[in-house]
Amino acid sequence: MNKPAVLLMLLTVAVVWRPGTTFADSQGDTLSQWIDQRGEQIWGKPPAPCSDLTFVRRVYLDLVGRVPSVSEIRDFQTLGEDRRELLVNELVFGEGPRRDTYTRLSASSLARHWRRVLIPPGAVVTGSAQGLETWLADAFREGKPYDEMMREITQIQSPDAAGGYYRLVGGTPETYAGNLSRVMLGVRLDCAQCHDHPFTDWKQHDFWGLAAFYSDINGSIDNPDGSRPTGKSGEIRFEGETYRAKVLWEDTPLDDVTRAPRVRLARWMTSPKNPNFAATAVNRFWQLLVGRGLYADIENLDLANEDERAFLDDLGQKFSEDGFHVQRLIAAICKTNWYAARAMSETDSDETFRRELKVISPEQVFDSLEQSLHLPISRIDPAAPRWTGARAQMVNRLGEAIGETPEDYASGIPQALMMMNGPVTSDAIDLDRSRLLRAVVESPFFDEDKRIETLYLAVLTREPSEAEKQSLTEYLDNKPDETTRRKAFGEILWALLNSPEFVLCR
Amino acid sequence: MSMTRSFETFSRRDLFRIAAASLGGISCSPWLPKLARAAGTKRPPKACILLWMAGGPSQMETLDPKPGHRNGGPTQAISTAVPGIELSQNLPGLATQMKDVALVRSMKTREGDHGRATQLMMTGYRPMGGMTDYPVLGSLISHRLKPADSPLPGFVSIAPFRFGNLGSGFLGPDHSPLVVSGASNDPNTRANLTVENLEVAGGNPDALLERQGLLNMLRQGAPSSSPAALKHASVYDQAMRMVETRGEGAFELDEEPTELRDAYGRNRFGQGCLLARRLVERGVPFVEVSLDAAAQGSWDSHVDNFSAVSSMCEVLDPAWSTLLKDLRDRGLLDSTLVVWMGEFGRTPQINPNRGRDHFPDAWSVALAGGSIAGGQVYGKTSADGMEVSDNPVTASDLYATLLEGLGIDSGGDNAMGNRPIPLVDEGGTPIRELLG
Repeated sequence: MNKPAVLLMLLTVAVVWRPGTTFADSQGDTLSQWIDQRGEQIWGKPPAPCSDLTFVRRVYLDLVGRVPSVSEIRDFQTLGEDRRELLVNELVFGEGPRRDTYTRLSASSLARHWRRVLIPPGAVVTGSAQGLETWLADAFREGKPYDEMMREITQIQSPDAAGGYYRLVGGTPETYAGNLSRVMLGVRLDCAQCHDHPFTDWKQHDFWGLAAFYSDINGSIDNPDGSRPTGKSGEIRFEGETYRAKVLWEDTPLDDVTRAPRVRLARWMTSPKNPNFAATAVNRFWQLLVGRGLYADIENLDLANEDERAFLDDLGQKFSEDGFHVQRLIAAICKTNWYAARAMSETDSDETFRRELKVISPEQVFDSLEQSLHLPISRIDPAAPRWTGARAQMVNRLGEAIGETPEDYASGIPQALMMMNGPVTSDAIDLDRSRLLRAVVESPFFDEDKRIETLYLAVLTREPSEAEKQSLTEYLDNKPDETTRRKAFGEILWALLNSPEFVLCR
Repeated sequence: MSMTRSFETFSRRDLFRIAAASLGGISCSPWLPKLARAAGTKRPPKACILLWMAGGPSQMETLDPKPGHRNGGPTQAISTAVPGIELSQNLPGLATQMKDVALVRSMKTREGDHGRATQLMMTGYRPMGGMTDYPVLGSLISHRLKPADSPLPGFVSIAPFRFGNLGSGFLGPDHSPLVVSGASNDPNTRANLTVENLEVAGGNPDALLERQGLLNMLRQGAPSSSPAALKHASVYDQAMRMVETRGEGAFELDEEPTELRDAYGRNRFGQGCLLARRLVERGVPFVEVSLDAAAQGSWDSHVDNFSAVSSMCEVLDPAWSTLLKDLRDRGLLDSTLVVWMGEFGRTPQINPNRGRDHFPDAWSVALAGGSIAGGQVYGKTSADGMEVSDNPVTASDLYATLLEGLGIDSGGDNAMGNRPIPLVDEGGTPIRELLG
């Protein structure tokens, strides 16, 4: 890496140059066009676009964390020519009458996602991550720039700062260093903790150089086999060796290491000149929205070659020039042809771009069920599953099996059994207890076709195909009497809730 | 439909024909348990039962008593069925089974924190801060030994209590545990050992067939080339079979004689061990039964260690010894490896609260059945229990031995994408003395 001089200089410059927010692209439209063109240079012409209803389902799930209600779908359909752009603006920037709701939902949806980035499923956690999630949600709601959030995480002065992230991931300099380089730079250094990295050229002094920035955090957990502070800031001891604070891609430690080491690290980390910071950020947002990172192996970005990361680096630079504005980046991506591509179809050139089905998160499953089934949501309603513990139960069970990427369906038998036979489903298909079923089956304005259509729209955000309509009509016609015929709608609803389409966003 | 045909050979389509032909026959079909079939010619398949002692049991009050030394406390030693081998007074039942049990008294690990040590002993790998999501032992074994056509999962975890959220890791959902909850510990109930959500929603088992049909219709709409959709279909098919066969009747503990159920102990752990045997009989290759707390105390005996461990052993000892005897009586012990371990041991020095604290330097585990040569002690601790004086065993060594004890080559690899991940962390060597 031929950037030592620039990087060293950055460490000592007090004020980082930041381009003004005078950028004309207030809602990501210019960036969106740029992405479309850049993508075509690499992938060829984009695949056919998805249908309007699929697009609505995608953006509601991706941006506010649940499927759209039937009335939200109707509202969308009344918008004009540029309805897709308008909807994205509504959900991302809170334009329109439901501003407060969408702003709140999209901030908590982003926070949940980033909590899982910071603390991946399966990681050992000390305590509850709720505080971290709240910290993240506040930051996203305030529209805090991405680099500023990451600087706050980097330059913590206590284990409880920045939502307590330091404490949560183990409370030692080494666990924090490993996580920061993974999260912000897409580099897994942990192997180099005990030995030089087997696949890449990371050395022990790279890992411990980063850990050294945190050696003087008060309240670190004392692990007998772990690191020891030396009593000086910016220095750490491990297995008899002393390491001085050092950033990656540098051979020599910082001079004057004891002077505000973490502030300098934060500045280096989030600098537009850091080769991996902005690239990793846009890669993560792209993966969140499109399903697969522009470089798929997000946390091994150091293994990517120049061609593989060309698009990524360019987009990262745009993100950085735009002041790391999260909402604008998200809106820009959602407005591209790539985001809107039909799932599972290919570009006309080759298979380099493909939109797979995306597995929705545990919270998205519950929140979508709540929306689809018209579950009560008031905090004072004793039957509201959100507050009775039913939500937590479902989220925990689904959370036991989360894939590494949104394309990876990782649920097992316990999760399937819960969706098939669990309390939420049991209530949903019971005519006496299900609000959705009652509304659909007992409405005097609906004929049978309309009933089926409404169930499809509420649960799957689409209309039944002709073949499906025909099968379902036959199915209903085979019922011997009115009672079993009414009950059969419960069975249809069961199948919709358990269909692959419910958990795999098309 | 001939009842002599074994369930195993039915394809899904068969199942639907049968169910359709017998009009709602799902609930009353007499699914032939594998046991009856296996009784003839086939040797029973290899299996492993892990008795997981969450919290870290004291070695000195269980497998490595030190009577006469200050560190040993008031705990006495008793003789066992094998002359020369002694156990603590808390394990009289196990003492009668000693001919089949091998004790390892020289475990030496480096993790003294519950979460980290659990990760080490459950996966065989030291925690490395999110590097690789290593699968737990149950998933490793399920991956190697799960029969392709079984309606039951390859890994069942009974009343799990663990420090840390561990699962099948990179081996994926096919090998994640089926969790059997046990909310109640009331000795007069069935200890509530049920699989959650095995009852058909709405209560009518006949509905299942209709639902399957509707689901199949909806699946036509999902792109068949999507890996996620394929996995979804596979997991749902397995779950459906579980519901259809009611888990092959494995969970009907009421079928067992009262005396046997009493012998295991009418508590969650005791009945869990009995359920483990029933699952192994039906071809499940890995069952984990957890014990972390009893009426008075837990394994994490920082305070009043001696009464806590004695109370824990009142639950542990009858269940463990009855399990070994029951497996032997049924000809399953030679194929079933029973492992007893926690995440670490306890300090030999007794703390001011008459407790013992976390201690990974020198502690004990026990193995029985499978290819393990029983009736022996491997390794030794010093007179004060402070260190291993003979044949130290690491977590990797133990893992290598367990795998070999189940007939699995411990030098093999798993694949994570295109990266080979060794089954056993580097340096693990099977202990030949323990393998018969």
